[in-house]
Amino acid sequence: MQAWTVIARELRAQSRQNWNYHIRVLTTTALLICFSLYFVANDRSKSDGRLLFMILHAATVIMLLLVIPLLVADTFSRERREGTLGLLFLTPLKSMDIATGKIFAQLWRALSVWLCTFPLFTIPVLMGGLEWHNIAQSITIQFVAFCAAVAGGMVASCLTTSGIAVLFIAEIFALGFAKFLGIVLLLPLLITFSNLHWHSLGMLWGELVFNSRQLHETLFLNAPHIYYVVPAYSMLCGLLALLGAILFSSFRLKRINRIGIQSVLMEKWKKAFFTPRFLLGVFKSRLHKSLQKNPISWLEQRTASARLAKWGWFALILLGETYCAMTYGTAQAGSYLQLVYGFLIIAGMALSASISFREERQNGALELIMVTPLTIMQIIGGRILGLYKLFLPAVLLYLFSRYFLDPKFVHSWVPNHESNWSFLVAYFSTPIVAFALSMRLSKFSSVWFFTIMGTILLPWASSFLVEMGKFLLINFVPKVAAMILAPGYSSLDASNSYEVDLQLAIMIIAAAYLFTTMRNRSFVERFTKAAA
Amino acid sequence: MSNPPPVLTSSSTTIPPAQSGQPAPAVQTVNLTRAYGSMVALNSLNLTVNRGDLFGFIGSNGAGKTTTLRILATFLAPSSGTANVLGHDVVRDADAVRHVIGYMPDFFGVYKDMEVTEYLDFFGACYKIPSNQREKTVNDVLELVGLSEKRGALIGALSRGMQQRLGLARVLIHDPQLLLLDEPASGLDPRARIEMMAILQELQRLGKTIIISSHILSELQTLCNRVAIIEKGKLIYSGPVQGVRDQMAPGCVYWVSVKTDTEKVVELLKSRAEVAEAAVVDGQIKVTLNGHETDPTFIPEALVHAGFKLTGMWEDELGLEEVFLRVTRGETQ
Repeated sequence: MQAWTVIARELRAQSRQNWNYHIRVLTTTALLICFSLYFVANDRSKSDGRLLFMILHAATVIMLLLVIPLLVADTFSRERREGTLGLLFLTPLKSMDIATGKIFAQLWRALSVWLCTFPLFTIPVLMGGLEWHNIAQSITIQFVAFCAAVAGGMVASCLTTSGIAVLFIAEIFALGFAKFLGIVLLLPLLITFSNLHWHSLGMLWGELVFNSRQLHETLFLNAPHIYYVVPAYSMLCGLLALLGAILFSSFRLKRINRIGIQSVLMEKWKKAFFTPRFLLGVFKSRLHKSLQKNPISWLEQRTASARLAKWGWFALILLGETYCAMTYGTAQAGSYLQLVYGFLIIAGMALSASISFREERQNGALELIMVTPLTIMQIIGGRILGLYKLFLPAVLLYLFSRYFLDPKFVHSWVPNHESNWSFLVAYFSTPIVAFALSMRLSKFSSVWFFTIMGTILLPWASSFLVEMGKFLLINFVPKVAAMILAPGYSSLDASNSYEVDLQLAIMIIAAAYLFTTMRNRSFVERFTKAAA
Repeated sequence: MSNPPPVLTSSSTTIPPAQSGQPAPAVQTVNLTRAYGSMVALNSLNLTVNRGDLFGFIGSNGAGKTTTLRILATFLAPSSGTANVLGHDVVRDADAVRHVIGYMPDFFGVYKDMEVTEYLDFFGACYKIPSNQREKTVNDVLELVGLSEKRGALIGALSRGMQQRLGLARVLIHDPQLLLLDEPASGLDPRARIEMMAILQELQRLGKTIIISSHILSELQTLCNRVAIIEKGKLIYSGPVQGVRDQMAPGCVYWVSVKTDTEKVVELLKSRAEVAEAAVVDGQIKVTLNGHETDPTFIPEALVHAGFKLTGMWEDELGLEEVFLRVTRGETQ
């Protein structure tokens, strides 16, 4: 077993990556924001540690399932893309050594992200109201989510070399594993409580993640022995998922090394499903026109994966909206689902924008494009336009559905709280913000994260943040508060919306920065480093 | 830190302004400087490349060749100084420059999932070639570089040599007057290299000006009519290939072969005032004359007069590679 060589190398390499430190800070910051929102939204005099604990617990599970797959997803796919995996196989290392070493190193990396959330949990514990089984449940669920996230990321990493696809696949696998483990996790409950049905298990997982107190009240109080069985069982399942990921990775790596980067089957599959067959003339003519109009925009649309992404998003939203219409109709509960769909579209758009120039930077084509007579505005503008087109069908469907299904949708285009404008502004600002951030940050994951922060999360939380600021002023610097705030202002009121204003402000700042940076060509050095 | 290499006199240290009525040189740089933070990659480079030249750009890794080519290609802006390409300033008139140059960096820059024609079509559109002309242009350049049979192939499936040729086809797609080629033959097998050089000669014959940076100096020696040597961002020499040797090798070197008494012959030659150095190398005598001495006829005269049997005598052909090694120290930035 020579996995230690790989582990030592991986840990050394990772210790030099700033992103590892940044992600811990960002994770803790996100939880702190949840923490702040709790204090703004709740009366402190009735503070109960349980509610804060639930909020932090839910936020941590979501963070683990969202962030960790992205962190580990590129482990093998990057090695394959850069051709370094083959070099590892030239050494006496076996596929199992490589898989174990890589997963172990990634496990440490992910563990450090999870562990950095622990100190925040001491606050609700100190606030009181919690029982030991709440904590045990929470740790159990977080552990399972952690294992699912790492396993999902690693399995996805073996399946594709595409930097974009691997992230999507990693998220899908992580959520799928989490769902599967959630069901497995509840098998003892199924045995204990015969009145449980299979279809309710999925909902129980939701209960476990988001509201374990309710689960505790409904199920756990009736069977105290479950406190010992469930954690042990679920942790075992989590560890088995990790072991499964190691075995699968080892098998895949061995196979990849033997048959090359892409299997014959994959080639056949791609040819069968991704080659245009109908209306070929129209298809070619449209692409030709697009190339003539703006070659950079054409780059965004030419591949089968781009078409798959375009209509995949459309299908996803269609599926979601159909589910929403059938389940909730025009009921109030559907509004929240609509917000989730909107968030998903913008998050997907931010991801596509963050990795938009990645291929050109890696293969050096960007340098070639930049010495053509195309202006910088055409180069960046073409990309932005390409991204708008990529998401346009999904966005139109989403807006159309919201118009009829969302009871909170205001049937006028006047900006207001929870406005219709917020989504539209996010749609137009996301590529601009992402490209502006690309000029500064080299890691696409940082660009993606900060784009979502800048276009959705920060504007969404703006009213809370402003009120939080006022609250702090009143409580800690009353003299300054008296000068700034209106007379008689004393309580927290987060009903005023600054969402669209802040989105517009961020978009304008990003556009100005993008224009200045492009004009001065100060990004060239950073952009060409990867190619060099 | 070792001392910088000596700056030798060259034809380019002072650049005469282009006279009215005469076409501007293909490339003219004046005190061109480029710094990356505190590191100076190019230090007051003064370089002139005439129209129609096949110009070799020689230097160690990190000497500043790629930076120079990137500035000429308008990809990088100089920190100070000016650079003109066919009369256009690379900063103020970048758009005009981009229409008349073809730049090939030292990597392929290809989309491996594109077809050959699709790739060239894309760059044709970038150069704003009308769509009705593009197909013909693509066919012409593919024929010129010998890739006509691979027009429908995926780029990822092409060999390294073919990808390099495709890069050359891309450079030629908009019929530029000046080609900037950064290591076009690196990594190619001997046959592909020879073919690439033949294409370049053909392009020169068609009237293109070509600046080519390469490490394969023996090929540059036969291919180029003018060369420049750069070290640590400074120009050491610029001028005709033959002039390199004349300027860089201060004393002529001759090889002398005698039947017997080699050591005695060496002693005899060393005693002559015209000889700077004489030594036996591989059974033959290497004679280096003093810098001012160019007439070697005294050597056979002296040997015959002393009674030695002279079997051969020839001038040492100093290659570009040896000159390069002599004048540079391989120092990078």
